[in-house]
Amino acid sequence: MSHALIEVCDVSKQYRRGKIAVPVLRELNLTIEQGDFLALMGPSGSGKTTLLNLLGGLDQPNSGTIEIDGQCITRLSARELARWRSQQVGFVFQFYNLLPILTAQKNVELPLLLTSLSAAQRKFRAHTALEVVGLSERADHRPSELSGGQQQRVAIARALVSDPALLVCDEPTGDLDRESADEILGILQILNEEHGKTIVMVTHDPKAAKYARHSLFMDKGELVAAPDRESLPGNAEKAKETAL
Amino acid sequence: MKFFGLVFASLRRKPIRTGLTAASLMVAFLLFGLLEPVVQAFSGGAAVSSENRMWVSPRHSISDMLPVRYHQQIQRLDGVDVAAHQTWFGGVYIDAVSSSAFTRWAVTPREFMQVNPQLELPLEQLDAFINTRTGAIVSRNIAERFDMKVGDKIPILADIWHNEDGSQWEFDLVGIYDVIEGDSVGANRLLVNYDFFDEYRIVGKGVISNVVFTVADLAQSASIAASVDDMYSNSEMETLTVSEQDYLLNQIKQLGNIGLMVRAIMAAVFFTILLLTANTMSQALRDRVGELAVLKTLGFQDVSVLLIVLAEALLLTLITAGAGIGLAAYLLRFGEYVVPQISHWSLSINSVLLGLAVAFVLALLVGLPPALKAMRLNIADALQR
Ligand SMILES: Nc1ncnc2c1ncn2[C@@H]1O[C@H](COP(=O)(O)OP(=O)(O)OP(=O)(O)O)[C@@H](O)[C@H]1O
Ligand SMILES: [Mg+2]
Repeated sequence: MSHALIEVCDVSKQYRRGKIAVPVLRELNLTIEQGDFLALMGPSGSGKTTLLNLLGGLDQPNSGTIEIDGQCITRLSARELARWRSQQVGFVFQFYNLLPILTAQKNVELPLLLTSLSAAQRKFRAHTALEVVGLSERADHRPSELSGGQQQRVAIARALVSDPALLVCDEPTGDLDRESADEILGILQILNEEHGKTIVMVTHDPKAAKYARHSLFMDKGELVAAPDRESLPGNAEKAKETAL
Repeated sequence: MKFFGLVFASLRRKPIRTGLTAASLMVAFLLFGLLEPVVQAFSGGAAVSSENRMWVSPRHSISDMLPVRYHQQIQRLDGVDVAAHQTWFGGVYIDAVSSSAFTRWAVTPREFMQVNPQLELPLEQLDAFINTRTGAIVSRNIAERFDMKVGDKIPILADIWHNEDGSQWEFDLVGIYDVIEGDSVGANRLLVNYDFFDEYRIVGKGVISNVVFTVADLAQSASIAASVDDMYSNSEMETLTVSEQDYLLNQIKQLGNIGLMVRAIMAAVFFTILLLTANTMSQALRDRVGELAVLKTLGFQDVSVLLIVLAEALLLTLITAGAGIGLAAYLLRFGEYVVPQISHWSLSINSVLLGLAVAFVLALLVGLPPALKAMRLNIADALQR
């Protein structure tokens, strides 16, 4: 029944450092099913964030195509891409990236400013999203008045509020203690299982990867065979050694 | 405007920095508001006068006086419509501060009101002024300020014109006149009846300060002025006849080109403020590259981000400009009680608009560079950090 939500086709990405082009992704191919929860692992610098940015439409590849839900996002202009992002993707980052001047509620409302919803509707939607992450009592708090775990929950609520099909999370628990991390991962799991969100999550933490349905391993800009779940920690260590 | 909350909130993010910038902007605009009337005053815009009124004064010294017969002689000249005369009374009303709020003149009531149609006096009050020897009239702003009412006795202590009883004069207020907008000559004056004044003064009987006349044909004013001055060119008291505008302007010009100087100072102040604010703004932008990248990530268009940053600069400068200019208007309004010389200074609507235009340009100059930078910000780079 499930169909492919994301089709990455021969995608290459390189960054320029002065005159030298540094290849980061090389002719990468990847299919992600609708409703999947994918953990993307790999050593630092292997290109995980770069790939995630491409999937989320934050950047464009040098070659290749990315199709998401039938839409070829690599053909969109910057303007169209911004519009697409606001409707189709939710982002969660390692350092939450909330606006410190806004309350939790207002942070969650941000993406809705781009819609035609009325102020009352925006408020209601944001409140609902905060309820999903169990933080509606803290709606009026500023980020500085919240713990790291709570801030990340606000960030998830913000990613959810426009009801996108896809969530991309870059090390969402990278800055959190075990307990908060488990809370966050639990929420992501619920979003995946009960709300049908497709999630792509970059993580360094094998325990975090266990919350996902699948894991992929990246090394030097290429996807390598996914190790089975039981041997993940060992493989991660080995990969780190080879990367050094 | 949905983004307004966002713009407003980001001004509050560093309250001290925003506060200091706002304070320096406000001081600059306060200065603008206080100095702009000076520029206006010294650009000759202070007293708006009629083009067809001519002033005849002693040619050589302002301390000279004209014989009163000049009035009748000038009245008889071809082309002269109505001639009146006025004599500087001076004197002290209550104290030095109150005295300097207005000037006091002895005039020929009927003719003076004819050559100054911008002074509106009810007919029965004009009659009373003409027919009351000790009569006096005053402009409404002064009457209101000193709570003078028709029927009041107005005591003036003479400093030039002593009378038979010493230096104490007393006039009966018989009228209060309004000054029509567009011609402010005659505002801030107390006018007394010349006949009584001349009769009662003990020195200098029969001399006046100026003859003021109107011409029927504006095109002839120069030649009429010349014939007045010709008429007295070999007399004991030569005259200088100029239009009222030129007369007032000359008085001001004797003080040098103060308007230009003040403008130069203001330009320097604003240039400094420009540099300071531009620096603060670009620093503020550097601090929040991440935040702007987040907005873009969420799907805010590049142009929206540009407008948000620009709107911040606009909001800051317009609010501070409004506050600074408003404060200046307030100080000018109430400052006249402390510095009576500025009593006729006020902020014109043009000055306020000029101030807001300056604020707008300032906002563009300081806001556009960071706004453009914000617009061009690459999300992936900015989030990398
Ligand atoms: N904007 C950029 N400009 C230049 N080089 C970049 C840029 N972004 C990433 N790189 C380089 O590309 C490579 C891959 O970076 P990327 O951030 O995708 O790695 P990653 O797998 O997410 O690493 P980490 O686990 O440390 O987050 C790195 O060598 C990095 O230095
Ligand atoms: Mg990364």
